[in-house]
Amino acid sequence: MDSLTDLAAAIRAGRRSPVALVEGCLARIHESEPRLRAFIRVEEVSALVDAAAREREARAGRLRGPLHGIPVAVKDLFDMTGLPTTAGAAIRRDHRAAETATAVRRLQDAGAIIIGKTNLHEFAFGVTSVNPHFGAVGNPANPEHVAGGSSGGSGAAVAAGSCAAALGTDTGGSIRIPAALCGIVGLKPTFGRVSRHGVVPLAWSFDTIGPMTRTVADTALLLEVLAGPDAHDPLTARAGAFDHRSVKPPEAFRVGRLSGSFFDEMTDGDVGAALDRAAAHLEQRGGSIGEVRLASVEAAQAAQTTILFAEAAAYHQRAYPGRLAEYGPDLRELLAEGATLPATAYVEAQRVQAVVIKEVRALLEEVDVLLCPTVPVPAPRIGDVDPAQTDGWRQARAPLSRFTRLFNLTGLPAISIPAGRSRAGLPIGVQLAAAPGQEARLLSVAAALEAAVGWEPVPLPA
Amino acid sequence: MLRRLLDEQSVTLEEPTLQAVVAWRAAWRREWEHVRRLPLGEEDLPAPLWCWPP
Repeated sequence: MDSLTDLAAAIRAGRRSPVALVEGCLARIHESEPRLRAFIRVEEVSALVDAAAREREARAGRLRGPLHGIPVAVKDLFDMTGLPTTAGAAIRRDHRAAETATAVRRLQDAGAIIIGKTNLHEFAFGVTSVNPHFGAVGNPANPEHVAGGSSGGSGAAVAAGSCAAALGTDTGGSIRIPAALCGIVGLKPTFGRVSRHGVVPLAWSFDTIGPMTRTVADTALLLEVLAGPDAHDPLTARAGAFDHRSVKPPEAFRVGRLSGSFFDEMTDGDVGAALDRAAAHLEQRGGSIGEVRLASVEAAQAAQTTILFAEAAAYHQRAYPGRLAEYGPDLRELLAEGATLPATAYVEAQRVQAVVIKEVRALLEEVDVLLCPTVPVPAPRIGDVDPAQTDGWRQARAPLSRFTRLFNLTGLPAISIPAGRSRAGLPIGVQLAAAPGQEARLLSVAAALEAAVGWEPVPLPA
Repeated sequence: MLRRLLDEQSVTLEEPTLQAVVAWRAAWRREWEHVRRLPLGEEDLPAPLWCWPP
């Protein structure tokens, strides 16, 4: 398997050409885009120019960093100087960014080549990436089904092998949901560990930047590049750096399998079976598995909804009422819903948030990681959730983010990794979460599970 | 009441969208009952005042 580490080593040694790699990715994008609609913008010219430069530098032994010559895509929520950041919205088509987002700049400083900007759910406020302005992102496993959202284009692009890795954002599950539905790895780091400077917000209390990759090792390498303080984002002031070499095979670890009616009801049979297999794999790899319960989980859902919807409505307050008709039908409705929430509920939700954090921290003194499905169901059909065709999107919304939002409310690092397929052949992901700042432990356990599952990502272009 | 609240914020919706907002608000109130049942004491401060970001 061509991991980023192997790929970067091959580029350094002159065995792989960044130009050939970028050309291969561009060819795959051209071939797959009619089905997937994963990209809003493909940076064909600049990617080839950058690839030629990285190739010359590699030949001269001048390497920029661990991602030298690696083609990466970024969700079109990240600013890049001179380019529009559409956020998947018609009202931002004419936007031009004045500077590059810190996360993107760190990728570029590490030698990565930005190959394009990926499609998403409009303004990242949704879980399907059925976008009324840029098309519905198709799932590479079956393009009639959604890729999940909101970082659906990044998920589909990585799963299709159109790029080696991608950036996503996660406010209620927007990295982990498409990762699970597309069959890739998606990490939401600890809240505040990666700079959000230059990224269009959805809800400030939860917005988190993270990598979407083909393997856990690739995620560790990207996190090393991305994590750490940024003077432009005060939330990162205490953020620790990350060393991908801290991810090591765990010898013994305790896994708390989240149980109770909240986690058992609504979980599809294929997803439940995949979770059972994942628990068995972890046990075989040295984990001791025990069931754990979270008494406040339903209140946690209500609190997360309230904070997210109120903050999203507040962010859009200046543009939304005057340009209502230019938003997609689901956004029009969701932002109005957020505008109806009382301020007292917002504050009460923040008090609940503290109670839930206390309860989860107590659980994480008993176990090293928490385990649950990422999404309780496989990817729905696009036609069943397209707001232009049906009101099915309203029913699909809550289930798709049912198991992810808890970790936004608590700020824990959480990762989705592939754990099998449904009987219909659609990918299924399982989710692991750890205490704040414990990404090394989280990724170590995730790597052990990944090795046991034996999931094979689509090869990158030769 | 919701219509007046939205009017105050210059949000003018078509009738089907407004009805969907009304239905969502009713569902939110039902979900909010879980919050009402959670015992919150005077010492339970909003998370940003003591533990957020983590």
